[in-house]
Amino acid sequence: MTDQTVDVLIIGAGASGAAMAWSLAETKMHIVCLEQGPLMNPLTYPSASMDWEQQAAGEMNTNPNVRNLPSDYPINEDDSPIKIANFNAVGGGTILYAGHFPRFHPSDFRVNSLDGVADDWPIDYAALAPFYAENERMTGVAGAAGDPAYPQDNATRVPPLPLGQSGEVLAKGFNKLGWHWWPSDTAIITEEYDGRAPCINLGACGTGCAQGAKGSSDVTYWPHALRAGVELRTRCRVREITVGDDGMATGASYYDGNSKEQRINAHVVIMACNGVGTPRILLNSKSAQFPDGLANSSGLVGKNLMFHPYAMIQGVFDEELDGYMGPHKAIRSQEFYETDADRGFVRGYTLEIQRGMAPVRTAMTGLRHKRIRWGEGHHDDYRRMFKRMTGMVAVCEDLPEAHNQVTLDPVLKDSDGIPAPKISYTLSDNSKRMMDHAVGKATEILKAAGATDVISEAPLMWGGWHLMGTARMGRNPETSVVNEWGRSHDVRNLFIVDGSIFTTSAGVNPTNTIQALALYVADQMKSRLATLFD
Amino acid sequence: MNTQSAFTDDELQTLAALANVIIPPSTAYAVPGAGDPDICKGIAAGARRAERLQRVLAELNQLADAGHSSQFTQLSDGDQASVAEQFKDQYASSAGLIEALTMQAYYRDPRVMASLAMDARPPFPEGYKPPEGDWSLLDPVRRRAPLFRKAD
Repeated sequence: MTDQTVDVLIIGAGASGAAMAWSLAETKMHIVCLEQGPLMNPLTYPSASMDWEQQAAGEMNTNPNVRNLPSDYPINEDDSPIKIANFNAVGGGTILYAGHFPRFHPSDFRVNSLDGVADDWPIDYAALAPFYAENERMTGVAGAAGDPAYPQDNATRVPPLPLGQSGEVLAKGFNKLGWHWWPSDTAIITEEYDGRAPCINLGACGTGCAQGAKGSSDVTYWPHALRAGVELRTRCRVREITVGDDGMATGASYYDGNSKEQRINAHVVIMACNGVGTPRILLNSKSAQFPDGLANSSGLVGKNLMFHPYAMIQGVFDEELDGYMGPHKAIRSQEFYETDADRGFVRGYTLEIQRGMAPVRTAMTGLRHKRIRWGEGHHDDYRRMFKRMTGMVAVCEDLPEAHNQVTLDPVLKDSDGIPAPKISYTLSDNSKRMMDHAVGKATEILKAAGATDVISEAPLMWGGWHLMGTARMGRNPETSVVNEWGRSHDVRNLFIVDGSIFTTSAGVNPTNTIQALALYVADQMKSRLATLFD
Repeated sequence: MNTQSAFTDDELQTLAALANVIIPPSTAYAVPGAGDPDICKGIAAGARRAERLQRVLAELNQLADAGHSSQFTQLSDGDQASVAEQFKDQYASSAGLIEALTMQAYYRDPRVMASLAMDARPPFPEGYKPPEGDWSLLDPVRRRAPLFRKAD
């Protein structure tokens, strides 16, 4: 076992860890980031192989239990209708994400004040706005200014992704109904940006971008952070955060790539493992001072897990559309985003258009929904759907509920013997009503656009992409885990910067907000260096 | 990942027969069935655990034996189709696995891709060129009043 002392230890090199590492690098402190996965080589991503869709279903699956790579830890998700999606590598989940990169709305930070549910965030949209802008500049975002669903912003954007045949057909449907739509803000560059080549429409964003056009944090923040002197150690799996007699974090114990236990001491520890990984480590960090896990005097570590329950709605059209060509995203609609009491639920959702499907996914979708048969009819059935499908998913806001939680499984362990997380989650009635509404409205759009057949699925079982709320942010130590600038209420040199600190989930993809929050917390830390632990 | 060599000849023949039931050849579309040797090789290679696929094939043969006192490969086309339907009903998880492996191997075969008017190549490095689309469709949305709620 080696023993070393550094200024700052960041645990996790995904979306938030990368942004935090880059931002703190200017302090010239000795910063080490431990990541349990490897540094990926984009040239080996599946889209460079003929069997890329097979790899997407196997070793590059979004679910760690299916993927089962050495860098993965198992998750007991038997008690959840929605299964976890993540990726363990430098870049984290951004390696596989589709790159949808919206901001939260101002109302998302004031859920209790506006709708009487959940809690308000301790910060507001205005506080995060400059960090959204900084994050978008660092990442490279395609889109268009002027969306009436948002306040005016000062975002840096490159031109939007192609609308394509699919987007055009659906845009006409939205326009016929008079409903909002807009080019999606997407972390995929359409022109050269920060030394990266533009998107060439591989249509395989969900298996890693071989072109490097998608803004996964391994190609956005990490090259800059490493050049600025941050030390990144891969294949290092943290077992626990250690504490001293004074109740301050002293560093971490971890296993290196040879499963050899190592120890690192740090003056500041920053958790960046997202909504399942962070509570798992905190709950595994039990000690005499913290018998219920670290930073857990509120009892809220692991509680209030929020996904975004997803509904998927696809239409089949007579004409040929984009099919397998182009990024998954094109446009979005936020016609039903803000609360309208007449709809029978509070809060709302984004309709995120999915351009089309690659050949195998077309087949699997058709088979699952009994539109494609085994046997003689297979070829005719398949050709009725291939390149003729487009549709959308509804990203529904999930409200925090204490019984939705991450705990430690009493039996299941990872390959290093560290207790694995267990997910317990039930869909709320509000979420169910919201998904039903979304399926109905999406069906209207698809029919208005000319769809001859509509299929839907809600919730999407494999749609646990967004993991939030399990170490929530707030001013009151009895009802939150970290304060309004990400510092643990209980441990004054422990910070959390990932999706676990979300107070509520909004109805949009969280990555832009996760990273903006990390930059905001980093900025707060830098401005308080002299009094950071007071 | 396993290779074809993990399977016996009998298992591979059963796999080919079942794959052809799932996707038969078509002269109309000029495509082979999924039981084609090259495609079958891909199906077998796609199983991350050979023993799981071997169990699937054993289950199929059990059904054939129970209903027809015969191995699946020895059945008529009609009986194979009927046993395959029974297999889907009684062994849904196994049928799901073989179905997925079959689709993953079939819809990357160069002959099948050609029939679908696709270039027989992976997406990278050439990529694709979808049409840009008509952005003037956005004009009515640009004229809309703000629809976000103020939170002050």
